[in-house]
Amino acid sequence: MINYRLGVVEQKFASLIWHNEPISSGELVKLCQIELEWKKSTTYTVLKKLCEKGIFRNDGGTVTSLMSEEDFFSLQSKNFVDETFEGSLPAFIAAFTKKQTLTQKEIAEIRAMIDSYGEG
Amino acid sequence: MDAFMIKLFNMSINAVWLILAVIVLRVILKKAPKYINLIMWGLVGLRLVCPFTFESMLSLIPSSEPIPSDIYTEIIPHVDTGIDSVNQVVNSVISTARATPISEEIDYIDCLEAFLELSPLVWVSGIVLLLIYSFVCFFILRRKVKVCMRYEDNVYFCDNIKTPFILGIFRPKIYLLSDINANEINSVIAHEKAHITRLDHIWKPLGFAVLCVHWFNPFVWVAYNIFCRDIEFACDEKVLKTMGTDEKKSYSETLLSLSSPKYKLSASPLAFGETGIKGRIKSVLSYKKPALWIIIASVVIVGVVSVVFMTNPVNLFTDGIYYVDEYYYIVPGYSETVESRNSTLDYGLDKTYYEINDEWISKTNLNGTFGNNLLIKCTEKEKAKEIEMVFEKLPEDITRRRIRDVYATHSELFIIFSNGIRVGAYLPKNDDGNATLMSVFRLSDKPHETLPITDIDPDYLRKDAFTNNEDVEISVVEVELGNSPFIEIIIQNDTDEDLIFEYPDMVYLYENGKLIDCDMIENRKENAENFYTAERFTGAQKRFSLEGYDFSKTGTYHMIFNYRLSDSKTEYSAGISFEVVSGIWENASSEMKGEG
Repeated sequence: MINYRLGVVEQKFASLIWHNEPISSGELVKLCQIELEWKKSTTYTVLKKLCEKGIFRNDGGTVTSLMSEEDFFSLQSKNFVDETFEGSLPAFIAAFTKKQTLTQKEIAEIRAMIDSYGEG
Repeated sequence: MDAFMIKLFNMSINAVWLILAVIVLRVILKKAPKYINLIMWGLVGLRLVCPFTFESMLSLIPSSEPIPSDIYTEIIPHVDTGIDSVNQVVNSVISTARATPISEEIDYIDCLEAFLELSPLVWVSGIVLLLIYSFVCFFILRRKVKVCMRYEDNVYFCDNIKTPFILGIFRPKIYLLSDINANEINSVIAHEKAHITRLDHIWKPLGFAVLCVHWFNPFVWVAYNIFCRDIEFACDEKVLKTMGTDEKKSYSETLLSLSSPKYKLSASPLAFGETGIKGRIKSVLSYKKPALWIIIASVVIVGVVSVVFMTNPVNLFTDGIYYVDEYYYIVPGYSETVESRNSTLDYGLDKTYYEINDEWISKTNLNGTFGNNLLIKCTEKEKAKEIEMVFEKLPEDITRRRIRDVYATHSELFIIFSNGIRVGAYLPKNDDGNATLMSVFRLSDKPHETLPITDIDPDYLRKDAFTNNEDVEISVVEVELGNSPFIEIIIQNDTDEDLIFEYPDMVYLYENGKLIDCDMIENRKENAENFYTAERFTGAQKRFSLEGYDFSKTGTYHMIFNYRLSDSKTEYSAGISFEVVSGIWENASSEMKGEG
């Protein structure tokens, strides 16, 4: 299973790409220079790492993503539930609600989600 | 190079005492602010690095030179660490090394020399290895933190690190774990910033540099370890000073969460992470601002420790007056009272003392001062032959291994032992340049209350110091007591050479075989510089009047004088004696002596 955990710093880098893609590697370097104070070599190193993880792609100098940010987060969440609750979402929710109560608003939202899930 | 290595080892050994003292003091001064500890470690660092040090009577260091600087040429090498058991072990190893020759193919004489010659190489290699290790760690860390994100000022987040640390000496940057909690972040930043304010990012690498130089000394490793821990303690204290109770709680919780130590030693000595968490949590929770008196007491204690362990023991031959205290050995018939070798009946009433100022030493005895002589500090090696002669005559409890310093004038030798004993020896040089041992004595800085009196040695005239000359005879013609006393003697010279007669300068008075007084001859006292006058006569006979003696007391009077034939350097001696009973002299006798 590919590890979809990203550190905070990598997260920031990834979101830079998601919000600016498609972007040439050169421009990405410039962007990272400004936003993160990174050198060119650093940018390329991290980019390579995330490409190997299958999140992004560097095709002839153009950087694009292989999955959207939302997709990525869902994958992260799924992996988290798989690893921690042996894939049991109810167990996750039970654990989640053990210490904090759901607000009325949240309950309504979740109910609407479950309803629409069944239909779709 | 050898002298350098020996000096280095000596500095390292002497610093061990200070290190041990600091370790003990840390426990005693637990309640004191932690920067006191760091001041003490600073002193340790100074001791390890500074080749110069003051000397002080209060020093507790056993020896300023545990490894003598001439150890590699000594036939019986020894060290003096101040602990006898350690000395024994080390000395036996060294002696074996000295006695173990290496095969002829290798260029060293024995194992000891091989060790000493190779040690600089080993030392430098050790330093190089340590430096390489630390730089490698440093560059690895630096590579890791390239992927970082600025949080504020000089604080960055980093994904790959396991503990927060500071990197950089000139523009130090703080790196935090990127998944740090919101409630931890302030504590950690406060702590790391305190490190930077306290310049710890400079002190710690400096400490490591000192460690590199002394890498062969395990005590220095221990000291460095504790030093690092104390840096953390002091930093915590600095942060805690400004915190309220809630903040303190949160701070200790942060410390707790950092307590999964992945590293025992720091990730790199040139960056540093968190060490010794458990102890720190304890001290954070129990932190109380120390009372003023504790701070003052600590400073005083540190001051005392500096003097006692930072200074080297003083050379015991300081300016002053030293009295001849006791003779260990004296050539029979030798007199300390004049420079030329007049014989004397014995040596008990010597009042010789030495006065030392700066580098000059003047010797004074019954005949007066003999002027200033240059006193030079020298090495055992330089005076090896003379020291051997002296040692043959010393009592067994004064052994060579306790020699501290050696001083010499042109004819005298002074040896100071580390247990405070000062030994002097008179070794005038012969014509062929070799020294002859005439006397060995102990020096004290207290004059005698009473002078020792020894028995007359009936065989004194037959001891081996003087030449026999059968062709010269002496007889006493007259002795006049009273206000202008004199003795008239005749010397009969049956050789066909001139005789050069030296006037005697001392009169010795015996009663019942015991020497009870000796006195300088009146007419000699006036010529203080030219303290022996001689007269040359040709022909067979001459009459001499020796004036100015005091024969008022009853007893047996002895007088010795020297003579030479022509210009030969061989000295002969003659002695005369007579008894005074109730103001009248009688039983004059004379004896000629042999042995030049």
